[in-house]
Amino acid sequence: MTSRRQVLQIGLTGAALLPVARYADAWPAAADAEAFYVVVFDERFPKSRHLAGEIAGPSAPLAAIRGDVTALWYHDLYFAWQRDAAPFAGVTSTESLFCLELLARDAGMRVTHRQAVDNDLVSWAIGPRRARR
Amino acid sequence: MARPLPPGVSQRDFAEALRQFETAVGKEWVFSSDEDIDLYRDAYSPFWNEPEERIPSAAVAPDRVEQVQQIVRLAGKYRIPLWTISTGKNLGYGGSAPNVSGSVVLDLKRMNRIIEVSEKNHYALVEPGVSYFDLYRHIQEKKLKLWIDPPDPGWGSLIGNALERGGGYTPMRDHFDAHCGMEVVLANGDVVRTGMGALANAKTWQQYKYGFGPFVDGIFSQSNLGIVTKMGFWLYPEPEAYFSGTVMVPKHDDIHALVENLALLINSGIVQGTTSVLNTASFGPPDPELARIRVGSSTSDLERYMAQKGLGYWTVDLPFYGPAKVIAAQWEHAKDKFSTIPGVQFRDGASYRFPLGQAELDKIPNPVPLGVPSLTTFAIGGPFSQGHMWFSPIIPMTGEAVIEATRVFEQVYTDLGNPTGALPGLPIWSFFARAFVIIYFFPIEHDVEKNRRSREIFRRLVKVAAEHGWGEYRTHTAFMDDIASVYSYNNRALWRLHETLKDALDPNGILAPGKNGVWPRRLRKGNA
Repeated sequence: MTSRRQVLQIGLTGAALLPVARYADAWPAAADAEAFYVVVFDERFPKSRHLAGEIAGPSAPLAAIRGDVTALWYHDLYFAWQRDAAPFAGVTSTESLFCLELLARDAGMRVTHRQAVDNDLVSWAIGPRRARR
Repeated sequence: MARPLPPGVSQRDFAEALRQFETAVGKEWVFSSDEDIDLYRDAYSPFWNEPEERIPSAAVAPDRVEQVQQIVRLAGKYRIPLWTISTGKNLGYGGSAPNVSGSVVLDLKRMNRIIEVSEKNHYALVEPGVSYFDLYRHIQEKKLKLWIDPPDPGWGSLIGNALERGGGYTPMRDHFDAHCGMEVVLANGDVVRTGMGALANAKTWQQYKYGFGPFVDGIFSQSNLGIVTKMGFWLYPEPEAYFSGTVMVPKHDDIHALVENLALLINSGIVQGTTSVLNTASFGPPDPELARIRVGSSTSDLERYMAQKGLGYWTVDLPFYGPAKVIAAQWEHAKDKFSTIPGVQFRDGASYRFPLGQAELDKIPNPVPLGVPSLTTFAIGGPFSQGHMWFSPIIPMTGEAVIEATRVFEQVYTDLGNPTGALPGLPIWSFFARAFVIIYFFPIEHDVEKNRRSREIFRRLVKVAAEHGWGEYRTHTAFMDDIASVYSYNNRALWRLHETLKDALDPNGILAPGKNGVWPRRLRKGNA
């Protein structure tokens, strides 16, 4: 099976402003795509969809937003987090990540990976903070 | 970043206090690791990465009022300052971070019970950790014919926002005014219920505000005299309809008649939701030709250009809520009033009948004025920054005040330069009855020099506003002393009263020292 690190290196070929190896190294090796509950992308940015698809691979579902994370959180993530603190990831604007980060905090989760893609986008992963809740 | 101790508290006493907090609430609910404390930093601090940035020493998260009482008593014993947060989303005004470094954050997120919602009498009783989203979800799940009044954004606490005197958009837009009854833990650990809640077995705690005797609720808003652990709110019965009408007037000087008529409609109860007065020439969509005309051209040039575009010089959106027939009559009445202004134009805007299905709601770009909480404000865009804060003076609801305030504040920007991208002027809002509030956006960067300049402009605006008789309704913790200092009538008589109350109710000075410029005796200037 293709590893997360390999997937990210493939995805970065036309995307990142940063050196490929550095970008890929920033992703936690243990965070396999199948562990992600969902991978979020912002459909206003083609690069976001492309990179999110690479991160998700064949195993994690994609979820589209257009800047606003309200519907995704209110109708989906809120209930998912009631069940468990499932890791999720995305390639979005910093504003969208900011909202998801604060919402995830309230569910006992934190940003475990954060890497600028370009001036518009950041790639990230959010996972359990600690076994408190 | 090194974590400070509470002022005047030894490492040994601090450690012992945390240990006793753990006994009170459980070890897992006392946070003292760097990783945990980092979560209570103010993401929008204007002192980001500067020595003045306010950093807590620890946080404690009780689950019920008895635990709050225990924590307060322990804090008094060890003189640990507590900074209370509800959901911790007071972004732009300090976030979760305390006013005094070394304070312990009293995090009330776990106290998130919706205790009662009455569909027949249109109220709710909630704990501090209940967010607008929480109450909205509860109402939707129970299919109750009730509206909440969320602010932008909707993830904050009803209690936190009301206590900070925040505003929304529906007829319940003044959130402190919409409250009815509180439960408060005092600094000595005593629990007080206000209004009718003082009756044992009260039946009207959320229906009659005043109870009997002095009405004290106000002293617990923007305050450090107690910790509010329950609060009642009046809710809006789901209306039959909503309609928004736009009024556009062509001349700069039409602002006087425009605002006079608007005030009449608001004060008569014809318009009950939040309106905004917009200088269309300044804040319309990007228009290079308009930008060119704005530099060095006359007011009449601008008026001509806006007329050619079919736009007004000034625009007001009027929201109406209620029965459709009544709304139609209200809009006709409003148009009659504004028709005295030559050249006035009217446009029908959004119109909805309730309840709306989810598919219909999803099509509405900003559902907040319809009582639906949202985070869409973060997706609207604007000047890129790592955060923001607000300068928000209250001005009279008159055209003269709009013109003068705009001129005066723009002059400050001109005098001091505007290297930060702060916006000199935004729509003028009617979040509260009888007065306007101007909301000026200040970007926060992770750039020490830019933030220093922003603080300089902010402080100058506070002073200039005060010189003209205007004061801010709310502010970031970084500027609370600045703003308190201009509320100075009769040798600071009001703040001396606040200090008298503070000394009487919180002699150890443990509750949110310095909040809104009210310091306990031991930390007052000259005593600290």
